[in-house]
Amino acid sequence: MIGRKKRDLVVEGFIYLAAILTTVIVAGIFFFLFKDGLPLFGEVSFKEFFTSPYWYPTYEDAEYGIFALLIGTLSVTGLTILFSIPLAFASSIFLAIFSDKSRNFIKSIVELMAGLPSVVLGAFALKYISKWIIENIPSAWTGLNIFNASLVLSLLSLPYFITLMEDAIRAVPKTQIEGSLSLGVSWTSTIFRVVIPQAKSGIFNAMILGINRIIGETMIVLMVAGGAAMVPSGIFDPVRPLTATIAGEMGETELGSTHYFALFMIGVILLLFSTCFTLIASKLKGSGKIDKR
Amino acid sequence: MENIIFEIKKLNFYYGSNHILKDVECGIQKNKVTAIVGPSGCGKTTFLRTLNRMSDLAPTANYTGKIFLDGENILDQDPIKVREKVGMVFQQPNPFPKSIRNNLTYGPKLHGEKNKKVLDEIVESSLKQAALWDEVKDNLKKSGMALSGGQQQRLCIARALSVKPEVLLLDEPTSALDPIATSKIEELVEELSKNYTIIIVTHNLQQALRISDYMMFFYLGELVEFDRTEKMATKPSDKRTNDYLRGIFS
Repeated sequence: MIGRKKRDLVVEGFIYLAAILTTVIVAGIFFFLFKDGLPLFGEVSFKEFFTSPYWYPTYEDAEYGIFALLIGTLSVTGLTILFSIPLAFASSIFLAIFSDKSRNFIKSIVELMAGLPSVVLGAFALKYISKWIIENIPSAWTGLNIFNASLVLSLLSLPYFITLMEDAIRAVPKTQIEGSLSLGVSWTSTIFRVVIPQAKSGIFNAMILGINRIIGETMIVLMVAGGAAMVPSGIFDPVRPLTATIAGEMGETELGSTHYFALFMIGVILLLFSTCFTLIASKLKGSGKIDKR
Repeated sequence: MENIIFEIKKLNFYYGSNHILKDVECGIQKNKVTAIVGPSGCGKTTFLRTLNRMSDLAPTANYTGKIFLDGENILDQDPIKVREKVGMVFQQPNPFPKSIRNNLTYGPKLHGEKNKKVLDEIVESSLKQAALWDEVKDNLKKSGMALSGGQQQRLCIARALSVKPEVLLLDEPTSALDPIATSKIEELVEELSKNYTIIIVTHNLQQALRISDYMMFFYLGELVEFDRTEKMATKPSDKRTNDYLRGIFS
């Protein structure tokens, strides 16, 4: 019996160690990002960094304003949301409620989409979508722009949105749906008055987690957003989102240079974004839970 | 025979290739309580659910035959219209996570009733008919989910009555309730049968004997016997009914 007790202690110890290690790693990431990001404000003012649209880190008279990059991230994210959330919402309702035999087929396609490497999608967009845009949209002066990146990001985030939203809708008890239908209420009213209100917190949660992913996605925007650090005036203008900036420039900066600090500061901003979103999501999940029976 | 509300002709029901109901023929009396009994899997719940087309919800459902309600075949009608006339209460109480009042105005509002006074009247009369009014009249804003199990089930009955149906289908309405809540529902059923036709599926034979005027016995998808409850209880004409009622199989 003592042997068994000892073994339990060892296993317990390992579990604790693993938990502590994970926490330490996350804390470490925060620490090092801040450590390498904060010195920036010794050289560039806080105001200039956030409000100046001029990002010229390699010029003689270097400028480090991330306003254009922020707008880049926000515009690509916004358009992606516009494309993907309505589509995902409709698909998830279909999958959760109306699909019968087609469900497995559609689900397997959605799962296949989820597994596509983003670089492959990026390559496709780089060659084909970009060509299509140039040929068909007269106002577009480059095929690599907000529109193109959002299109591909939508494709990438759809399976994520669909899966999470479908789970939220399926969690609404079937007896609730039957209760409504048995009163002679139509399917449409049942969905809008009974199903969606009860799946609301789960649907919001899905949106927030999905948006968080879109903001953090790097490969697509690096390949097809166009890379121009300018404030766009339309959806066919190229942009340089925050993530693409880090990925594109980090390899070429000198350790400890202002440029290096600035890139880390961008990392801090992205981390703060995602922390906020994750906190909102977990808050939503905790509150507004429906009574399941 | 002019008091027959449901006239069922050669009803066959299938889930995919499963033949669930076999050539069911019967006439159900208006403003009476008809209890459906039979062993598990005999098709009694399926039969009940065809009477307001809730059985349509199963994707592979398929049927032949005719069900006349007031002379019209409901299998040819829009299921939504059928369910307005034929309400249903389920095994598990399923009030909406809304206030008691909104549980009761939900149906009428979606059927186009906007007048607040009329809605108030519906709330009061439905709750009174379901013998719940005295217990909740001061708390109509309270969530329906906050009531006890028995109260929830009576709220569900009130909700079904709120759209003014002719028939009330009860699918084992007391199987999730304690004995006291059960006896309240049973009293209620007797009271309601003055104004509504009630068809109830139950696993509890005693309950069927206590509250029903007519009994149907289903076995393996067949309607074996359908008669007045006293007659079925004392002198069933089919051996299978007799065996079931004597507890030889269940």
